[in-house]
Amino acid sequence: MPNSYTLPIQGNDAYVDINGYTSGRSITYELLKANAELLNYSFAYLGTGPIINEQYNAGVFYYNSTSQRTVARWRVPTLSGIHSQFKFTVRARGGTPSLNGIISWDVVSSNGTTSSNHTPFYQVNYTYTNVLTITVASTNTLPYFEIRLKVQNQVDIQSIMVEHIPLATPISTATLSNCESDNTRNNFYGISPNMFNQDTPLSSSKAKQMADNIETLNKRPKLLFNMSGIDTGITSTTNPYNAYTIRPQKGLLWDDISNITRGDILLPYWFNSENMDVYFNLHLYIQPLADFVLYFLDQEINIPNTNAEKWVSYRIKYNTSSLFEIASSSMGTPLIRYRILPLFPNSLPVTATPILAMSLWGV
Amino acid sequence: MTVFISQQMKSPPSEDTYKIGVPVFGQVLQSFGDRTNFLAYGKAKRVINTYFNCSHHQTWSNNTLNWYGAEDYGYINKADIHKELLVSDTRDILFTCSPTARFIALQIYYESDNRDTYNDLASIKAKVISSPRTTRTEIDAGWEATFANGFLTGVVIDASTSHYQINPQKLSTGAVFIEPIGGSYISLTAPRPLFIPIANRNSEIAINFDLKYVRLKSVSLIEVEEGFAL
Repeated sequence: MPNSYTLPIQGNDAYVDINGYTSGRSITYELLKANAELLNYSFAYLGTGPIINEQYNAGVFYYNSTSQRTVARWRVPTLSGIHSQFKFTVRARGGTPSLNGIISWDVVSSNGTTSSNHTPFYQVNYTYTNVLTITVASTNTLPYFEIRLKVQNQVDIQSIMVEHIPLATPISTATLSNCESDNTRNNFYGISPNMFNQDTPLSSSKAKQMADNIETLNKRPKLLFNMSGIDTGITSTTNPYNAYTIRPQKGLLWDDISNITRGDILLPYWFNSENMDVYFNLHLYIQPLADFVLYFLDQEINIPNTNAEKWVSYRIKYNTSSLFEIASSSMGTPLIRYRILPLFPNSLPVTATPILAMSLWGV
Repeated sequence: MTVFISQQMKSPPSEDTYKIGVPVFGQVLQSFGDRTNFLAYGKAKRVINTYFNCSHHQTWSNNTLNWYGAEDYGYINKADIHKELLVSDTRDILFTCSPTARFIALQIYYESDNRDTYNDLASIKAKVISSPRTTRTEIDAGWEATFANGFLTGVVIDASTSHYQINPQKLSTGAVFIEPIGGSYISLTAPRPLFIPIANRNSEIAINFDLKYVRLKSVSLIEVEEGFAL
C-alpha cells in the first residue's frame, strides 16, 4: 500500500492532538497515523511554492532582437531527491506577428538543462498566456537548481512567478534523501499508514524514523529571497508601448540593492532557531572586476577580483541582532523583518555593483 | 476547538528515549506530535519577497556606471518617473497558496510624489482574487490605504510643482487586526492581513494591487494564522 497524506485544511482533523499522548491514556493508532501522515505532508510541501517573483515597472523589461538571449538567472534549493517540477507564470506582451515575443525557461541540474517555451506573446496589452510546467528528468544530485530566463523577438514583461510544485502523489516507501550537503541526518522515510495499524507494535525503529524525518525537515532549506538583474544587452532605447526611454541594465544596480536596505525583507522567525545550527545560505552570481566587500547581516564578505561571471556561496550566521520584530499577535507567528545591509566600500557609488543575481535561503 | 501550534523550532527527542527496552513515555510522543505540527503548520507556510525592478538610475557600460542623479531612477528623463506616478497601475502577485494559508500579512515599500495634490489622490488597494488568469473572482475585498485615512504617509517638502521629490515609505499590515475592524471580508477596510477562504486554499490566487499616484518598490508577503480553529 502506498503512503499518503491528508491536506491539513480546516476541519479535517489533520493535526496531531498532543493531548492524546498524555501519560496514563492509551495511545491510539489513529493518532499515530495522523502523526505519520502529517510528516508525509510536510515532506511533500515544505519549501514548495513561490521561489522567484519579480515585477517590472511598465516598460522596464523591454527586449527587441531576433537573437535569443539569456537575460536573468536564479539559484533555488533542491528540496529532496524527488521534488523535480517547476511552474512558470509570466504576464507579458509581445510584438507584431513576425516579432511575437518568445519567453523560454531553462532548469539546470546535475542532469543537464531542461528547457521549454511559453506560447508566444503577441497581445498589445499585458496578458497571461499558458502556464508552463517543467519536470526535470531525474534526481538532481546537486543541492541547487539554476533557473534561467531567455527572451527572443519583441518582449515586454510585467511580472514573473516561478513556483516549486509540491508532490502530488504518495511518497515512495523507499528511503529518500534530502540534498542539503552538510545535513548529517538527511534521510526521510516515507511512512506508510500500515505501519501504525491497530495491534501493530510501536517499535523503536519507527520512532527513529520519525525522529530522523523531523530533523531532516528542520534542516530543509527554504527560499527566502531571490533577485536577478536583467541583462538585455541593449543600449538606451525607447519602449514603443509607452514611449518611455529605457536604460540598459546588466546586473543588480545600486538602487535595486537599496530596495532591500530600505524596504527590508519580511520573514517568519521561529523561536530557538539560533540554537539549532540554522543558518542562511547566500548565493551571489557575480562578475567582480575589482576586489569588493559586502556586509550582509553584519558579516563581512570579501570577494576577490576574478573578472569571470560565476556563482559564489556563503554561509551566514543566523544573527538575531539583525532582527526587528514589527508586530505579532499573542497566538500567531511573529513577523520579523530582517534588515540586510549590503554596504559597499564606496559611500558614493562610482562603479557598478558586481552582483548580477542574489538568492537567499534559510529556515 | 482551537489548537495552538508551537512557534519554536526544536530537535526531535534524544535517541535514548526511544531505544529498545525503554518504556514509551507520553512526553516523548508529545514531542513528536508537537514538532510535527510545527513543521506542517509553521515552517511549511509560504513566504514571498517580491522585488520590483524600477530602478536603474545608473547604466551599466563596461562595468562603469553613468550616474544620472537620485531623482532620475527608472527612466532617463526625470519627467518619465513622475509621469509614471500619475498613471494608475494594477499588479498581481499570483501564486498557489498553501493548504494552511489562512491569512496573508503584507509589508509594502512604496514611493509617492511629495506634492500636495498628488498626496490627496494617492491610494493603494489590496485584495485577493481567485482564478486570476480567467474569471478573477474577488474572495477578499481587502483594504485601502490613503493619505486621508492615515495609512499612507508622506513628507511634503515643497508644494510647488517646480520642486518635487520622490518620497519612499513603508506600509505594513502586521499580524494584528486579523479580523476586519468594522465589517466583513467582502467590504473594503483599513489595512489588515488578507483572508483566504477555505475553498481557495491550496489553489492559485493573486494578491491584486490597485495603485494610484504611487509605485511599489518591494512587497513582502507571508502566510500567518492566529492558531487554527477546528
